Formats: sequence, C-alpha cells, structure tokens
Amino acid sequence: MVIPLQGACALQGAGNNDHELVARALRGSQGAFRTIIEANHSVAVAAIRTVLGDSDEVEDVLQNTFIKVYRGLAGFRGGARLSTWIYRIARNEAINALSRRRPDHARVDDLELEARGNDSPEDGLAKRQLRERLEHALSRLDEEQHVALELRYLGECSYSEIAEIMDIPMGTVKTHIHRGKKALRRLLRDLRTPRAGGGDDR
Amino acid sequence: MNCTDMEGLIPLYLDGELAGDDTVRVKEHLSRCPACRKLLEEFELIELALTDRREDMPPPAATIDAVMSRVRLHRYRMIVDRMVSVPVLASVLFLTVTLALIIYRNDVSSLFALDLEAQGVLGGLVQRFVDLLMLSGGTDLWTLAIVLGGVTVAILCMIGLTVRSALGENRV
Repeated sequence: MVIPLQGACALQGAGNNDHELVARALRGSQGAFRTIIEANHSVAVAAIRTVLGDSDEVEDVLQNTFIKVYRGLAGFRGGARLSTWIYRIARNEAINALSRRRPDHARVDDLELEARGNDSPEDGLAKRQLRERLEHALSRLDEEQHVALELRYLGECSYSEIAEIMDIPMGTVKTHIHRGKKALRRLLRDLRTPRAGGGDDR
Repeated sequence: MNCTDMEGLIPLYLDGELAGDDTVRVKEHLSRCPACRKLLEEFELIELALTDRREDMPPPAATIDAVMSRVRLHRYRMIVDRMVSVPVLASVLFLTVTLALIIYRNDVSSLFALDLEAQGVLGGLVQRFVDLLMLSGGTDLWTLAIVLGGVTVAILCMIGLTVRSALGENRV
C-alpha cells in the first residue's frame, strides 16, 4: 500500500502565488485570507500537534496562529514560502500554550477518547486503543522524526515541502520518516502491554 | 536479501522510495516469507493509523469562520479607534479655543495680548485669529457654537469609547 501524498500541505503551486495572496489580503480581500488559511491549515495543525499532542487546546492555538498571521502579513517578506512562515508561527504559538499549561492539564488521549468514537463498540475500542498508543508513541519519538511524520501524515506534505519547512536536505527528511516509522513500530509493540503510571507528557 | 534488512526496507517500499531492482527483490522476499509479510502488515497498519489521525483535525471551515469573525472584529476596532481618536483631538481643540474666548471676554485680553506679542510671529498669528473671531459675528454666538460643538463631540467620544470597550471583550 503506497499512500499518495502529493504535497497537499499547501495548494498546488501556492508557493508561486504567496506574494499575490498576501498582497490581496493586505488590500483587504477576505477571500485571499480565507485561501491562505485553507491552504496552510493542515501544516499549522501538524506543527501544533507535534508540540501539544492530541489536546483540546489545538483549535484555540490554531485560531491564534492565523490571527498572528493576519496581523503579521505586512511583515511577510517572502524569503521563505508562506507555509514555512506559518509553520513557525504555529509552532511558537503551541510552545507558548505549552508553557502556560497548568501542571494538571490532561491530554485528550488520556481522558476523552472513550467518549469520542462513533464506530461499533468493538471496532471503536480497538481503534481508540491503537490511537491512544500511537499518540503516546509519537510523543516519545525524537523531535525531528516526530515533526517529519506529523508534516507527512497530518500536514500531507511532500518530502520537498518538509525539507523546506524543516530546513534540512530531502535525504535527511526521508531518513527521519523511515527511522521514525521503525521507532514507532517498536514503541507500539512495547506499549501493547498495559501502560503503568499513566500520563507521560514530554 | 534477508529478514534483518526488511525492517529498514519495508517503510521505503511502502512509500515508493525503493529503486526498481530493490522493489522486485522485496516483493520476491515477501512472497516467500510469512514473518516479513506480517511485518509489512504492521507497517501498513501504522501508516493507516497515522493517516486516520486526520479525522481528529479541526475542520478547516470551522477554523476559517472563527478566524474571519475575529479578523472582522479587528477591522471594526480599527475603525472605531479612528472614530474615537479624531473627536478626542477635536475636543481638545474646542476646549482650548473656548477657554481662550472666555479669558478674552473677561477683560484679561490685554495681558494675554502682551504675552502673545512677546512670543513673536506665532503669538501674532494667534492674536489675529482671535481678533477675527471677535469681529465676524459676535462673541456670544461664537462661544455658544463652540461650546455646543464641544459637547456634541464629547458625547460622540463617549459613544465611541463604549462601542470600543464592547468590542474589546473579544480582542484579536
């Protein structure tokens, strides 16, 4: 099974239109700003989830990210692609949210997954258990492997887009992704036995 | 190609990142090795689970609506800010002119005029402006108009500040 990922993390060719979109948004076009959000939504989610995990704060941080983007549009110089710039803003917003987090803040995967599923009870339970183990395993990966996997699978980015966002060569992106998957497999195997001790935030 | 190599090759195979020859060799190994087929299934399951997490992403439409309403609020705030700042400046101007007229009418104008003369060209210009006001319609009419204008602008300021504080509850 080869999952087709053709760089959906930004609209096709959006890199070339970044300046035009930003210019239109600065002239007050709400349609242009909507397009910017739509095109970069998954990248921002990937950046936030890498830091916060599957948390109930994601939506708030996501909104704050795009408000920051709106307010900072005039300062976008185009040295990097818009998606790269937005990724960095989203990551910083998530780090700020993490630093404000109360010590007793619970992650969604610990508390709310039970109430979320709408599958049949057996399928739902198996899926939720796998999802919970996966979130836990992801949080234990090396930072760069985690970022690369989130951008690939949540952000739906191509290797070249990930390379640009992370500012590393494409070969290194591939290495992070493949090593990340191998590490995930081992961690998931280890986590099959019931977890002792509960929440293990980064 | 042995089973030890496969753990490193299967993720590449699944991602379509293997060269043609390697793909053939991996396929050939998988066809005769049940343990590696199981390994392949495990990696497929991981990929599927990673992809399925997109279901938990907040829908873009909800984010867009929430952000756009905050953006609109931000624009309203900017307009109201402008509406407030202009009348505030106008109020200060009206108040200054009104006070100047009151002082002028209370016969301290000679003292005032001496000071103005001492201030040179600018003082002379202000003196001429006040003289012009006095000559072109009567001090009572001018004073009344200016006081009424000042009160109107002050009321507008208060309305603007109230609207601004209401909008300010949901800051951008």
